[in-house]
Amino acid sequence: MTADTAMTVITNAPRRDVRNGARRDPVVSQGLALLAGISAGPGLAAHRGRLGPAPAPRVDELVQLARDVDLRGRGGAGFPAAIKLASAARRKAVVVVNASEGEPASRKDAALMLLAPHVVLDGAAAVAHALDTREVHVVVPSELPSIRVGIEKALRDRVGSGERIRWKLHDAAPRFVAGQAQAVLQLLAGKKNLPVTAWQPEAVSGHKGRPTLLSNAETFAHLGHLARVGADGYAAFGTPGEPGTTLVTLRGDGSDPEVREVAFGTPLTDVLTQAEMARPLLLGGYHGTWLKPAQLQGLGVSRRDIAAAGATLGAGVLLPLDEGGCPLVRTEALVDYLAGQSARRCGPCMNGLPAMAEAVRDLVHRAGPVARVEELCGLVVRRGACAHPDGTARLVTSMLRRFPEEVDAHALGDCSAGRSEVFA
Amino acid sequence: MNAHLMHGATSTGFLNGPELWFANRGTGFVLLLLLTFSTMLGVLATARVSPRLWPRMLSQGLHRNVSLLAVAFLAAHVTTAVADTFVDIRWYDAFVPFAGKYMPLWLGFGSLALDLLIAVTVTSLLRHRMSHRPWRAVHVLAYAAWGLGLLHGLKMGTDAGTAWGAAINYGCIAVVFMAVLTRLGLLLQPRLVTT
Repeated sequence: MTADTAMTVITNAPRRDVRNGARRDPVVSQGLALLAGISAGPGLAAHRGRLGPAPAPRVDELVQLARDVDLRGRGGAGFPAAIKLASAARRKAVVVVNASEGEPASRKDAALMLLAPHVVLDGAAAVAHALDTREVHVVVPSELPSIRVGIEKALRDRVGSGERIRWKLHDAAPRFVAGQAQAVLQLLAGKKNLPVTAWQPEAVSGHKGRPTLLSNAETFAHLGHLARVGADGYAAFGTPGEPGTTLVTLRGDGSDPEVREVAFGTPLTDVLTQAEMARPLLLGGYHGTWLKPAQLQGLGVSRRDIAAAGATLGAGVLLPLDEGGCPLVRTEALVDYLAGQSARRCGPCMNGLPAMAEAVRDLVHRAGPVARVEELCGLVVRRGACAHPDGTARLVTSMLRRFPEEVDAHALGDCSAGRSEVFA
Repeated sequence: MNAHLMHGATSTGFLNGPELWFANRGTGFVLLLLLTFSTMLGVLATARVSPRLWPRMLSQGLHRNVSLLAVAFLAAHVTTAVADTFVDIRWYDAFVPFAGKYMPLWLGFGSLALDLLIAVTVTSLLRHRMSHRPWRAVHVLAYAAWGLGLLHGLKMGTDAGTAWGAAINYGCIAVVFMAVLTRLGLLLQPRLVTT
């Protein structure tokens, strides 16, 4: 049987819809630090009553604190917050809170902005104070108007209480790549909310050429909490090597999404159900990496352990495979979605991702050649202005690497959906 | 095979479609073939064998004309790369090596090759006004330009991974090495006495 045979792979694996919209609200549990006060409601009075005024650290203090606890950005790339802060600490700095959260499987920023807006905004105010600026931009997703309404009220309350910050609210486009840093700067500049080539890092030259501290909303929440409780207080949770907590989204694009704040080092068994532990896990979201159940044993929510397993925590997205699912069928649907999300501004992404989606579809459903998929993965990496092609290639490459037996099965017209022991 | 890459791309005019990308890849390979041919002719021309065995038509006329054709293709290759809006290569990235954002190392090798070839072309056009030594010192840089250009395509070229792309790349390496070996072999032979 040759790979060229037009063959349809019979599969009963559910082909999940990955479009935005018609999503369930996530269940959010009370958290350890950032989400500790959600039962008191999102209001400013309750927040101030619980925690007092916004912290006002000096920049060298804040940089040192971020360095002490090795705070990393929570937008996915995990860049050290201390380096970014120190780079942006120059005249006329701008602060940008990025809560656009373009990935459908990530819900933690939405949860934070809805349930604990002042935890994020206190962090932004603390950073603005440290950088000696009053200009803070907040970017919210336009497809979730409840966030905009909530943040508008939160900002009105803060200004009404005498806070001297010029808050500016922006609506990000409902698109996967709209939350990318350069795309956000384009939005702030009144241009199309799409990525462009970054000639310099945002902290060096960002909004209007000024030093710009653009970070994920959760990162600001951590900076505020850190400035408030200090390095020792921050290390009340987590491990000595990785102090603190992190937000994770479970099954973010599924029918029962959940957002939780967990301490670093928390074993995955405390986060996932026993059944989910026995199924493949897509870790890090649509740009993430597949892990096999055997690799999940003994693994914790820890950047280091996860890196050692050949994956990244990314923005904290955990997507266990659906019951009875096939990781290849799931990947094929995701690549198809990601190809459609290209900004169509870079040739390798615009031409390469649709071709990759077709090659993966051929591989999964029509016994197409693996070599074509590998060739396209090699061709798009590091050739885009943003990391969209790289992330898509990472997802596809991890599928090929973790499930070679299943790739072979599909090449023979078979599919192991429903027989999860095959993916162990 | 790579025509499949077209899938999903909508062609909406020369600057917005994939045509510039195709032209860029095409001119790149033709450029490599021309430079290889020209380098081979140049290497063999230095052998100074009898004009009967290796007439001046080959050693000078053809070498010059192939090289000038290569210059035209080089201009087209650079222009298409810069004009293509789907890859961020600024016009001066074509000349200033390693300053760009798009695969700066491998693009930089191409820029270096371009700079060297500009020097080689200008000095050759002014050869009648120059003494032999400085002209030759610049002219041998063409070897470096050929190697840098080859490496640039090998590491950056869209089609370098395909069978036919690899065949062209390694075929060109073989041609130049054969020419150099032939030249070195002739050096060791007793010089032919011309009549």
